[in-house]
Amino acid sequence: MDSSQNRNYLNSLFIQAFMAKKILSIEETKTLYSKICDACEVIYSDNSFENFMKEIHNTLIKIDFDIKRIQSKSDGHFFYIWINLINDDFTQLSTQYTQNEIVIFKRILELIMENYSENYQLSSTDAIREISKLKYSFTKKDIEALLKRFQKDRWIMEKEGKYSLDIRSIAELSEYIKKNILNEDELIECPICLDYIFSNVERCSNPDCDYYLHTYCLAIKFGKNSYSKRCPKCKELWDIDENIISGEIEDEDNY
Amino acid sequence: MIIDDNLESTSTQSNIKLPVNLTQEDIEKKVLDLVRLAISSSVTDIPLKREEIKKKVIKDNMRIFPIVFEEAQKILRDTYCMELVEYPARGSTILSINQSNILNSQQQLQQGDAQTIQASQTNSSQVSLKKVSSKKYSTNSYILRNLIPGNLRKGLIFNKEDYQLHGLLIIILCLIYANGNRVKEEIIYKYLEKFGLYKNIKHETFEDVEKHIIQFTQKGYLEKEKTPIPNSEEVTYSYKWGPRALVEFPEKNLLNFIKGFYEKEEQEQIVKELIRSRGIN
Ligand SMILES: [Zn+2]
Ligand SMILES: [Zn+2]
Repeated sequence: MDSSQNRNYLNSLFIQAFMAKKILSIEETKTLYSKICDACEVIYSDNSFENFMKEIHNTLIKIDFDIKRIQSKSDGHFFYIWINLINDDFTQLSTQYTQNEIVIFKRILELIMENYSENYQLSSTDAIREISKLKYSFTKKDIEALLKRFQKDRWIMEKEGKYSLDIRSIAELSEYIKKNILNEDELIECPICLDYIFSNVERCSNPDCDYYLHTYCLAIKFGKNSYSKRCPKCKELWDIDENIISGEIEDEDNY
Repeated sequence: MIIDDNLESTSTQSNIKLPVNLTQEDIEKKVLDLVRLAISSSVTDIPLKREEIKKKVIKDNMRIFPIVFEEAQKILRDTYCMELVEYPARGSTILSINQSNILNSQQQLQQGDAQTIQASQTNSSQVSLKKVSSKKYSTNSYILRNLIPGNLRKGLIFNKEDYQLHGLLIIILCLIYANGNRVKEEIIYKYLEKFGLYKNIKHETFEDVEKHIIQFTQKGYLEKEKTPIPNSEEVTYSYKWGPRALVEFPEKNLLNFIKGFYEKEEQEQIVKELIRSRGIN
Protein backbone atom coordinates (compact mmCIF):
# COMPACT_ATOMS: atom_id res chain seq x y z
CA MET A 1 0.00 0.00 0.00
CA ASP A 2 1.09 3.56 -0.72
CA SER A 3 2.61 5.00 2.45
CA SER A 4 1.63 8.57 1.68
CA GLN A 5 -1.94 7.28 1.79
CA ASN A 6 -1.53 5.51 5.12
CA ARG A 7 -0.43 8.78 6.69
CA ASN A 8 -3.93 10.17 6.10
CA TYR A 9 -5.41 7.61 8.47
CA LEU A 10 -3.30 8.68 11.48
CA ASN A 11 -5.89 10.88 13.23
CA SER A 12 -8.98 8.88 12.40
CA LEU A 13 -7.32 5.62 13.38
CA PHE A 14 -6.33 7.10 16.71
CA ILE A 15 -9.84 8.46 17.34
CA GLN A 16 -11.45 5.14 16.45
CA ALA A 17 -9.01 3.15 18.57
CA PHE A 18 -9.42 5.46 21.53
CA MET A 19 -13.22 5.40 21.23
CA ALA A 20 -13.07 1.64 21.62
CA LYS A 21 -11.00 1.90 24.81
CA LYS A 22 -12.40 5.08 26.44
CA ILE A 23 -9.73 5.27 29.15
CA LEU A 24 -5.97 4.78 28.96
CA SER A 25 -3.08 5.82 31.15
CA ILE A 26 -0.61 8.31 29.69
CA GLU A 27 1.84 5.49 28.97
CA GLU A 28 -0.82 3.38 27.26
CA THR A 29 -1.94 6.36 25.19
CA LYS A 30 1.63 6.97 24.04
CA THR A 31 2.04 3.30 23.18
CA LEU A 32 -1.17 3.38 21.18
CA TYR A 33 -0.02 6.52 19.37
CA SER A 34 3.36 5.02 18.53
CA LYS A 35 1.75 1.81 17.24
CA ILE A 36 -0.54 3.86 15.04
CA CYS A 37 2.44 5.89 13.81
CA ASP A 38 4.06 2.60 12.84
CA ALA A 39 0.99 1.37 11.02
CA CYS A 40 0.62 4.69 9.19
CA GLU A 41 4.34 4.93 8.46
CA VAL A 42 4.77 8.17 10.34
CA ILE A 43 7.87 8.74 12.48
CA TYR A 44 7.01 8.70 16.18
CA SER A 45 8.49 11.12 18.68
CA ASP A 46 7.59 12.01 22.26
CA ASN A 47 7.48 15.68 21.26
CA SER A 48 4.98 15.11 18.49
CA PHE A 49 2.65 13.36 20.96
CA GLU A 50 1.59 16.56 22.78
CA ASN A 51 0.86 18.34 19.53
CA PHE A 52 -0.97 15.35 18.19
CA MET A 53 -3.25 15.24 21.26
CA LYS A 54 -3.97 18.94 20.82
CA GLU A 55 -4.96 18.33 17.22
CA ILE A 56 -7.28 15.50 18.27
CA HIS A 57 -8.78 17.75 20.94
CA ASN A 58 -9.44 20.50 18.38
CA THR A 59 -11.16 18.03 16.09
CA LEU A 60 -13.37 16.46 18.72
CA ILE A 61 -14.57 19.56 20.54
CA LYS A 62 -16.28 20.69 17.33
CA ILE A 63 -18.77 17.92 17.94
CA ASP A 64 -18.76 18.19 21.75
CA PHE A 65 -16.56 15.22 22.45
CA ASP A 66 -13.06 15.34 23.87
CA ILE A 67 -10.16 13.18 24.97
CA LYS A 68 -9.19 14.87 28.21
CA ARG A 69 -6.12 14.44 30.33
CA ILE A 70 -7.23 13.90 33.91
CA GLN A 71 -5.18 13.41 37.04
CA SER A 72 -6.28 10.88 39.59
CA LYS A 73 -6.93 12.56 42.95
CA SER A 74 -5.93 9.44 44.81
CA ASP A 75 -2.44 8.72 43.47
CA GLY A 76 -1.72 11.53 41.02
CA HIS A 77 -1.48 9.31 37.94
CA PHE A 78 -2.56 10.84 34.65
CA PHE A 79 -5.12 9.32 32.32
CA TYR A 80 -6.67 10.17 29.00
CA ILE A 81 -10.42 9.72 29.00
CA TRP A 82 -12.97 9.88 26.18
CA ILE A 83 -15.50 12.48 27.27
CA ASN A 84 -18.94 13.39 26.05
CA LEU A 85 -19.14 17.14 26.71
CA ILE A 86 -22.93 17.14 26.66
CA ASN A 87 -23.87 14.31 28.92
CA ASP A 88 -27.32 14.20 30.37
CA ASP A 89 -28.32 10.77 29.21
CA PHE A 90 -25.43 8.54 30.32
CA THR A 91 -24.71 7.48 26.74
CA GLN A 92 -21.19 6.47 27.71
CA LEU A 93 -22.57 3.64 29.75
CA SER A 94 -25.01 2.38 27.18
CA THR A 95 -22.47 0.37 25.19
CA GLN A 96 -21.70 -1.94 28.05
CA TYR A 97 -24.70 -1.74 30.30
CA THR A 98 -28.40 -2.43 29.95
CA GLN A 99 -31.03 0.19 30.80
CA ASN A 100 -31.66 -1.37 34.22
CA GLU A 101 -27.96 -1.45 34.97
CA ILE A 102 -27.70 2.25 34.09
CA VAL A 103 -30.56 3.04 36.47
CA ILE A 104 -28.66 1.17 39.15
CA PHE A 105 -25.52 3.12 38.37
CA LYS A 106 -27.42 6.42 38.67
CA ARG A 107 -28.75 5.34 42.04
CA ILE A 108 -25.24 4.42 43.25
CA LEU A 109 -23.99 7.79 42.05
CA GLU A 110 -26.72 9.60 44.00
CA LEU A 111 -26.15 7.56 47.13
CA ILE A 112 -22.43 8.19 47.08
CA MET A 113 -22.85 11.93 46.54
CA GLU A 114 -25.57 12.23 49.17
CA ASN A 115 -23.17 10.70 51.68
CA TYR A 116 -21.60 14.04 52.33
CA SER A 117 -20.92 13.28 55.97
CA GLU A 118 -19.19 10.04 55.04
CA ASN A 119 -16.79 11.85 52.70
CA TYR A 120 -18.71 10.69 49.63
CA GLN A 121 -18.39 7.01 50.39
CA LEU A 122 -20.98 4.29 50.44
CA SER A 123 -20.57 1.02 52.29
CA SER A 124 -21.06 -2.08 50.19
CA THR A 125 -23.83 -3.37 52.46
CA ASP A 126 -25.75 -0.10 52.04
CA ALA A 127 -25.16 -0.27 48.30
CA ILE A 128 -26.59 -3.77 48.01
CA ARG A 129 -29.54 -2.95 50.29
CA GLU A 130 -30.47 0.14 48.31
CA ILE A 131 -30.16 -1.57 44.93
CA SER A 132 -32.37 -4.42 46.13
CA LYS A 133 -35.06 -1.81 46.85
CA LEU A 134 -35.18 -0.98 43.14
CA LYS A 135 -37.07 -4.26 42.70
CA TYR A 136 -35.21 -5.56 39.70
CA SER A 137 -34.79 -9.30 39.55
CA PHE A 138 -31.15 -9.01 40.56
CA THR A 139 -29.83 -11.45 43.13
CA LYS A 140 -27.21 -10.34 45.63
CA LYS A 141 -24.66 -12.15 43.48
CA ASP A 142 -25.80 -10.30 40.34
CA ILE A 143 -25.49 -6.97 42.14
CA GLU A 144 -22.01 -7.80 43.35
CA ALA A 145 -20.96 -8.80 39.85
CA LEU A 146 -22.38 -5.56 38.46
CA LEU A 147 -20.55 -3.47 41.07
CA LYS A 148 -17.35 -5.29 40.06
CA ARG A 149 -17.95 -4.29 36.44
CA PHE A 150 -18.48 -0.65 37.42
CA GLN A 151 -15.13 -0.88 39.18
CA LYS A 152 -13.34 -2.54 36.29
CA ASP A 153 -14.56 0.19 33.92
CA ARG A 154 -13.39 2.76 36.47
CA TRP A 155 -16.75 4.36 37.22
CA ILE A 156 -16.47 3.55 40.92
CA MET A 157 -13.72 2.30 43.19
CA GLU A 158 -13.78 0.24 46.34
CA LYS A 159 -11.57 0.64 49.36
CA GLU A 160 -12.02 -1.14 52.67
CA GLY A 161 -15.59 -2.10 51.87
CA LYS A 162 -16.60 1.37 50.77
CA TYR A 163 -17.44 2.66 47.30
CA SER A 164 -16.54 6.08 45.98
CA LEU A 165 -16.40 7.66 42.53
CA ASP A 166 -13.50 6.67 40.30
CA ILE A 167 -11.79 8.70 37.64
CA ARG A 168 -14.27 8.17 34.79
CA SER A 169 -17.18 9.44 36.83
CA ILE A 170 -15.11 12.44 37.88
CA ALA A 171 -14.09 13.14 34.29
CA GLU A 172 -17.44 12.54 32.72
CA LEU A 173 -20.09 13.27 35.31
CA SER A 174 -18.82 16.26 37.33
CA GLU A 175 -21.15 18.57 35.41
CA TYR A 176 -24.06 16.21 35.90
CA ILE A 177 -23.40 16.00 39.64
CA LYS A 178 -23.17 19.78 39.94
CA LYS A 179 -26.39 20.27 38.02
CA ASN A 180 -28.52 17.42 39.31
CA ILE A 181 -27.29 16.05 42.62
CA LEU A 182 -25.50 18.64 44.73
CA ASN A 183 -26.67 22.13 45.56
CA GLU A 184 -24.40 25.10 44.96
CA ASP A 185 -23.68 25.43 48.69
CA GLU A 186 -22.78 21.75 48.99
CA LEU A 187 -19.87 21.98 46.55
CA ILE A 188 -16.44 21.91 48.15
CA GLU A 189 -13.49 23.28 46.25
CA CYS A 190 -10.07 21.78 46.90
CA PRO A 191 -7.74 24.63 47.94
CA ILE A 192 -4.75 22.89 46.32
CA CYS A 193 -5.92 21.97 42.81
CA LEU A 194 -9.04 24.20 42.76
CA ASP A 195 -11.21 21.37 41.40
CA TYR A 196 -14.38 20.43 43.22
CA ILE A 197 -14.03 17.48 45.57
CA PHE A 198 -16.21 14.51 44.65
CA SER A 199 -13.99 11.67 45.80
CA ASN A 200 -10.75 10.94 47.66
CA VAL A 201 -11.79 13.35 50.37
CA GLU A 202 -9.44 14.13 53.26
CA ARG A 203 -10.70 16.16 56.18
CA CYS A 204 -8.68 17.95 58.83
CA SER A 205 -8.09 15.67 61.81
CA ASN A 206 -9.45 18.35 64.15
CA PRO A 207 -13.16 17.42 64.42
CA ASP A 208 -14.18 21.06 64.78
CA CYS A 209 -12.46 22.09 61.54
CA ASP A 210 -13.95 21.72 58.07
CA TYR A 211 -10.85 22.01 55.94
CA TYR A 212 -11.07 19.53 53.02
CA LEU A 213 -8.75 18.51 50.23
CA HIS A 214 -8.07 15.57 47.89
CA THR A 215 -5.96 12.62 49.01
CA TYR A 216 -3.37 13.29 46.33
CA CYS A 217 -3.38 17.03 47.07
CA LEU A 218 -2.82 16.23 50.75
CA ALA A 219 0.18 14.10 49.81
CA ILE A 220 1.60 17.01 47.83
CA LYS A 221 0.90 19.55 50.57
CA PHE A 222 2.28 17.55 53.49
CA GLY A 223 4.82 15.54 51.52
CA LYS A 224 8.55 15.12 52.16
CA ASN A 225 9.55 18.69 51.45
CA SER A 226 6.61 20.36 53.13
CA TYR A 227 7.26 23.30 55.36
CA SER A 228 4.55 22.69 57.92
CA LYS A 229 2.34 19.82 59.02
CA ARG A 230 -0.32 22.17 60.37
CA CYS A 231 -3.81 22.68 58.95
CA PRO A 232 -3.88 26.00 57.07
CA LYS A 233 -7.28 26.80 58.57
CA CYS A 234 -7.28 25.83 62.27
CA LYS A 235 -3.47 25.70 62.61
CA GLU A 236 -3.69 22.42 64.52
CA LEU A 237 -1.15 19.70 63.79
CA TRP A 238 -2.62 17.48 61.05
CA ASP A 239 -2.60 13.78 61.95
CA ILE A 240 -1.55 12.32 58.60
CA ASP A 241 -1.73 8.71 57.52
CA GLU A 242 1.90 8.07 56.55
CA ASN A 243 0.79 5.70 53.77
CA ILE A 244 -0.66 8.62 51.87
CA ILE A 245 2.58 10.55 51.83
CA SER A 246 4.91 7.62 51.28
CA GLY A 247 2.73 6.29 48.47
CA GLU A 248 4.19 6.57 45.05
CA ILE A 249 3.76 10.14 43.93
CA GLU A 250 3.68 11.00 40.29
CA ASP A 251 6.30 13.52 39.33
CA GLU A 252 4.40 16.62 38.31
CA ASP A 253 6.55 17.14 35.23
CA ASN A 254 6.00 13.62 34.08
CA TYR A 255 3.34 13.94 31.41
CA MET B 1 -24.39 9.01 -1.13
CA ILE B 2 -27.44 7.11 -0.10
CA ILE B 3 -30.27 7.18 -2.55
CA ASP B 4 -33.53 7.07 -0.73
CA ASP B 5 -36.90 7.22 -2.36
CA ASN B 6 -38.35 8.90 0.68
CA LEU B 7 -36.25 11.99 0.16
CA GLU B 8 -38.22 14.82 -1.24
CA SER B 9 -35.23 15.57 -3.37
CA THR B 10 -31.94 13.81 -3.97
CA SER B 11 -30.24 16.72 -5.64
CA THR B 12 -27.05 18.15 -4.23
CA GLN B 13 -26.40 21.46 -2.56
CA SER B 14 -25.87 23.44 -5.73
CA ASN B 15 -29.46 23.25 -6.85
CA ILE B 16 -31.33 23.56 -3.58
CA LYS B 17 -32.35 26.91 -2.21
CA LEU B 18 -32.03 27.35 1.52
CA PRO B 19 -35.34 28.06 3.16
CA VAL B 20 -35.43 31.78 3.91
CA ASN B 21 -35.35 31.43 7.67
CA LEU B 22 -32.14 29.34 7.63
CA THR B 23 -28.66 30.79 7.29
CA GLN B 24 -25.51 29.02 6.20
CA GLU B 25 -24.43 28.95 9.87
CA ASP B 26 -27.63 27.18 10.84
CA ILE B 27 -26.86 24.53 8.27
CA GLU B 28 -23.27 24.18 9.45
CA LYS B 29 -24.46 23.72 13.00
CA LYS B 30 -26.88 21.01 11.92
CA VAL B 31 -24.12 19.30 9.96
CA LEU B 32 -21.96 19.10 13.10
CA ASP B 33 -24.97 17.93 15.12
CA LEU B 34 -25.44 15.08 12.67
CA VAL B 35 -21.75 14.15 12.79
CA ARG B 36 -22.01 14.09 16.58
CA LEU B 37 -25.12 11.94 16.47
CA ALA B 38 -23.46 9.53 14.03
CA ILE B 39 -20.36 9.22 16.22
CA SER B 40 -22.58 8.63 19.27
CA SER B 41 -24.43 5.91 17.43
CA SER B 42 -21.13 4.19 16.75
CA VAL B 43 -20.26 4.42 20.44
CA THR B 44 -23.54 2.78 21.39
CA ASP B 45 -23.64 0.41 18.40
CA ILE B 46 -27.30 1.19 17.73
CA PRO B 47 -28.49 2.04 14.19
CA LEU B 48 -29.33 5.69 13.70
CA LYS B 49 -32.95 6.20 12.73
CA ARG B 50 -33.98 8.75 10.13
CA GLU B 51 -36.72 9.82 12.54
CA GLU B 52 -34.06 10.55 15.15
CA ILE B 53 -32.07 12.67 12.70
CA LYS B 54 -35.26 14.56 11.96
CA LYS B 55 -36.05 15.09 15.62
CA LYS B 56 -32.60 15.92 16.93
CA VAL B 57 -30.90 17.58 13.97
CA ILE B 58 -33.13 18.76 11.17
CA LYS B 59 -36.05 19.71 13.41
CA ASP B 60 -38.30 21.72 11.11
CA ASN B 61 -37.66 21.54 7.42
CA MET B 62 -36.92 18.10 5.95
CA ARG B 63 -36.04 19.71 2.63
CA ILE B 64 -32.59 20.49 3.97
CA PHE B 65 -32.01 16.83 4.86
CA PRO B 66 -29.98 16.03 1.70
CA ILE B 67 -27.68 19.04 2.17
CA VAL B 68 -27.06 18.37 5.84
CA PHE B 69 -26.61 14.65 5.21
CA GLU B 70 -24.08 15.15 2.39
CA GLU B 71 -22.03 17.71 4.30
CA ALA B 72 -21.98 15.48 7.39
CA GLN B 73 -20.85 12.57 5.21
CA LYS B 74 -17.92 14.66 3.97
CA ILE B 75 -16.75 15.37 7.52
CA LEU B 76 -17.29 11.78 8.59
CA ARG B 77 -15.24 10.54 5.63
CA ASP B 78 -12.44 13.10 5.81
CA THR B 79 -11.99 13.38 9.57
CA TYR B 80 -13.25 10.12 10.99
CA CYS B 81 -12.85 7.73 8.04
CA MET B 82 -16.36 6.46 8.46
CA GLU B 83 -19.53 6.92 6.47
CA LEU B 84 -23.21 6.43 7.05
CA VAL B 85 -24.78 3.67 5.02
CA GLU B 86 -28.36 2.60 5.06
CA TYR B 87 -28.95 -0.33 7.37
CA PRO B 88 -30.08 -3.11 5.05
CA ALA B 89 -33.53 -4.56 5.49
CA ARG B 90 -33.96 -8.09 6.74
CA GLY B 91 -33.69 -10.46 3.85
CA SER B 92 -31.32 -8.31 1.81
CA THR B 93 -28.90 -10.48 -0.11
CA ILE B 94 -25.15 -10.38 -0.23
CA LEU B 95 -25.31 -9.78 -3.97
CA SER B 96 -27.64 -6.79 -3.90
CA ILE B 97 -25.73 -5.10 -1.10
CA ASN B 98 -22.43 -5.51 -2.87
CA GLN B 99 -23.88 -4.04 -6.00
CA SER B 100 -25.32 -1.07 -4.20
CA ASN B 101 -21.97 -0.49 -2.49
CA ILE B 102 -20.22 -0.45 -5.83
CA LEU B 103 -22.80 1.98 -7.11
CA ASN B 104 -22.39 4.19 -4.07
CA SER B 105 -18.67 4.50 -4.58
CA GLN B 106 -19.22 5.26 -8.24
CA GLN B 107 -21.55 8.02 -7.25
CA GLN B 108 -19.07 9.44 -4.79
CA LEU B 109 -16.68 9.91 -7.67
CA GLN B 110 -19.35 11.63 -9.67
CA GLN B 111 -20.63 13.83 -6.91
CA GLY B 112 -21.88 17.18 -8.06
CA ASP B 113 -22.16 16.02 -11.60
CA ALA B 114 -25.90 15.76 -11.86
CA GLN B 115 -25.88 14.66 -15.45
CA THR B 116 -23.73 11.63 -14.80
CA ILE B 117 -25.87 10.62 -11.86
CA GLN B 118 -28.97 10.91 -13.97
CA ALA B 119 -27.32 8.84 -16.66
CA SER B 120 -26.37 6.18 -14.16
CA GLN B 121 -29.94 5.94 -12.98
CA THR B 122 -30.78 4.14 -16.17
CA ASN B 123 -28.07 1.54 -15.80
CA SER B 124 -29.01 -1.88 -14.64
CA SER B 125 -27.42 -1.99 -11.19
CA GLN B 126 -29.51 0.99 -10.22
CA VAL B 127 -32.48 -1.30 -10.51
CA SER B 128 -31.19 -3.60 -7.79
CA LEU B 129 -30.29 -0.63 -5.59
CA LYS B 130 -33.81 0.70 -5.97
CA LYS B 131 -35.01 -2.65 -4.84
CA VAL B 132 -32.86 -2.52 -1.72
CA SER B 133 -33.84 0.96 -0.67
CA SER B 134 -37.32 1.27 -2.06
CA LYS B 135 -40.10 2.14 0.36
CA LYS B 136 -41.07 -1.42 0.85
CA TYR B 137 -37.63 -2.53 1.96
CA SER B 138 -36.21 0.65 3.41
CA THR B 139 -35.24 0.44 7.07
CA ASN B 140 -34.90 4.21 7.39
CA SER B 141 -31.87 3.67 9.60
CA TYR B 142 -28.17 4.12 9.10
CA ILE B 143 -25.04 2.64 10.55
CA LEU B 144 -21.45 3.75 10.25
CA ARG B 145 -19.14 1.87 7.95
CA ASN B 146 -15.45 2.01 8.66
CA LEU B 147 -13.31 3.22 5.75
CA ILE B 148 -9.92 2.47 7.31
CA PRO B 149 -8.37 -0.59 5.65
CA GLY B 150 -8.53 -3.67 7.88
CA ASN B 151 -4.77 -4.25 7.77
CA LEU B 152 -4.20 -0.87 9.45
CA ARG B 153 -6.81 -1.48 12.13
CA LYS B 154 -5.47 -4.89 13.05
CA GLY B 155 -4.46 -5.10 16.70
CA LEU B 156 -5.35 -1.49 17.41
CA ILE B 157 -9.06 -1.14 17.79
CA PHE B 158 -10.13 -4.37 19.35
CA ASN B 159 -9.11 -5.65 22.72
CA LYS B 160 -8.24 -9.31 22.98
CA GLU B 161 -11.75 -10.55 23.78
CA ASP B 162 -13.31 -8.57 20.94
CA TYR B 163 -10.71 -9.98 18.61
CA GLN B 164 -11.50 -13.55 19.54
CA LEU B 165 -15.22 -12.95 19.16
CA HIS B 166 -14.57 -11.30 15.82
CA GLY B 167 -12.77 -14.48 14.73
CA LEU B 168 -15.70 -16.64 15.80
CA LEU B 169 -18.10 -14.41 13.89
CA ILE B 170 -16.00 -14.55 10.71
CA ILE B 171 -15.88 -18.33 10.86
CA ILE B 172 -19.67 -18.49 11.10
CA LEU B 173 -20.17 -15.93 8.33
CA CYS B 174 -17.78 -17.84 6.05
CA LEU B 175 -19.64 -21.04 6.71
CA ILE B 176 -22.96 -19.41 5.84
CA TYR B 177 -21.51 -17.68 2.80
CA ALA B 178 -20.02 -20.85 1.39
CA ASN B 179 -23.36 -22.59 1.74
CA GLY B 180 -25.52 -20.28 -0.28
CA ASN B 181 -26.35 -17.89 2.58
CA ARG B 182 -28.49 -20.25 4.59
CA VAL B 183 -27.30 -22.86 7.06
CA LYS B 184 -29.35 -24.91 9.47
CA GLU B 185 -28.72 -24.22 13.12
CA GLU B 186 -27.59 -27.76 13.95
CA ILE B 187 -25.10 -27.71 11.03
CA ILE B 188 -23.50 -24.58 12.44
CA TYR B 189 -23.01 -26.22 15.83
CA LYS B 190 -21.74 -29.40 14.19
CA TYR B 191 -19.24 -27.37 12.20
CA LEU B 192 -18.11 -25.45 15.28
CA GLU B 193 -17.31 -28.78 16.97
CA LYS B 194 -14.36 -29.01 14.58
CA PHE B 195 -12.98 -25.99 16.41
CA GLY B 196 -13.60 -27.58 19.79
CA LEU B 197 -16.71 -25.52 20.45
CA TYR B 198 -19.67 -27.47 21.78
CA LYS B 199 -23.18 -26.29 22.51
CA ASN B 200 -23.85 -26.62 26.27
CA ILE B 201 -20.19 -27.24 27.12
CA LYS B 202 -18.25 -24.39 28.63
CA HIS B 203 -15.35 -23.40 26.36
CA GLU B 204 -12.06 -22.13 27.74
CA THR B 205 -12.11 -18.88 25.73
CA PHE B 206 -15.68 -18.40 24.60
CA GLU B 207 -17.47 -20.03 27.54
CA ASP B 208 -21.05 -20.29 26.23
CA VAL B 209 -21.02 -20.40 22.40
CA GLU B 210 -24.79 -20.25 22.14
CA LYS B 211 -24.82 -16.98 24.06
CA HIS B 212 -22.48 -15.42 21.52
CA ILE B 213 -24.57 -16.59 18.59
CA ILE B 214 -27.64 -15.04 20.22
CA GLN B 215 -25.71 -11.80 20.65
CA PHE B 216 -24.50 -11.82 17.04
CA THR B 217 -28.14 -12.17 16.04
CA GLN B 218 -29.30 -9.36 18.34
CA LYS B 219 -26.62 -7.07 16.98
CA GLY B 220 -27.70 -7.79 13.41
CA TYR B 221 -24.68 -9.79 12.28
CA LEU B 222 -26.75 -12.93 11.87
CA GLU B 223 -30.36 -13.43 10.94
CA LYS B 224 -32.30 -16.36 12.33
CA GLU B 225 -35.05 -17.85 10.20
CA LYS B 226 -37.82 -20.23 11.10
CA THR B 227 -38.83 -22.89 8.60
CA PRO B 228 -41.76 -25.19 9.31
CA ILE B 229 -41.18 -28.84 8.54
CA PRO B 230 -43.86 -29.97 6.06
CA ASN B 231 -46.55 -32.28 7.48
CA SER B 232 -45.33 -31.71 11.01
CA GLU B 233 -45.81 -29.43 13.99
CA GLU B 234 -42.09 -28.85 14.32
CA VAL B 235 -39.91 -26.11 12.88
CA THR B 236 -36.23 -25.85 12.02
CA TYR B 237 -34.06 -22.80 12.36
CA SER B 238 -31.42 -21.59 9.97
CA TYR B 239 -29.03 -18.68 9.95
CA LYS B 240 -28.31 -16.11 7.25
CA TRP B 241 -26.10 -13.06 7.06
CA GLY B 242 -27.68 -10.25 9.07
CA PRO B 243 -27.97 -6.64 7.89
CA ARG B 244 -24.93 -5.44 9.82
CA ALA B 245 -22.69 -8.17 8.40
CA LEU B 246 -23.74 -7.14 4.90
CA VAL B 247 -22.45 -3.64 5.57
CA GLU B 248 -19.37 -4.44 7.61
CA PHE B 249 -17.94 -7.41 5.74
CA PRO B 250 -17.41 -6.61 2.06
CA GLU B 251 -17.61 -9.72 -0.08
CA LYS B 252 -14.16 -9.10 -1.56
CA ASN B 253 -12.44 -9.19 1.87
CA LEU B 254 -14.26 -12.33 2.84
CA LEU B 255 -13.23 -14.09 -0.37
CA ASN B 256 -9.63 -13.10 0.27
CA PHE B 257 -9.92 -14.46 3.78
CA ILE B 258 -11.27 -17.80 2.61
CA LYS B 259 -8.75 -17.95 -0.23
CA GLY B 260 -5.97 -17.85 2.36
CA PHE B 261 -6.87 -21.38 3.47
CA TYR B 262 -6.17 -22.87 0.05
CA GLU B 263 -3.09 -23.58 -2.06
CA LYS B 264 -2.28 -20.99 -4.70
CA GLU B 265 -3.29 -23.15 -7.65
CA GLU B 266 -6.69 -23.91 -6.07
CA GLN B 267 -7.57 -20.35 -5.16
CA GLU B 268 -9.05 -19.18 -8.44
CA GLN B 269 -11.31 -22.20 -8.66
CA ILE B 270 -12.47 -21.79 -5.06
CA VAL B 271 -13.43 -18.17 -5.58
CA LYS B 272 -15.40 -19.07 -8.69
CA GLU B 273 -17.28 -21.78 -6.84
CA LEU B 274 -17.98 -19.55 -3.90
CA ILE B 275 -19.36 -16.78 -6.06
CA ARG B 276 -21.58 -19.29 -7.79
CA SER B 277 -22.92 -20.63 -4.51
CA ARG B 278 -23.37 -17.37 -2.60
CA GLY B 279 -26.71 -16.33 -1.31
CA ILE B 280 -28.91 -15.13 -4.08
CA ASN B 281 -32.51 -15.23 -3.05
ZN1 LIG C 1 -7.25 18.75 45.01
ZN1 LIG D 1 -8.09 22.17 60.41
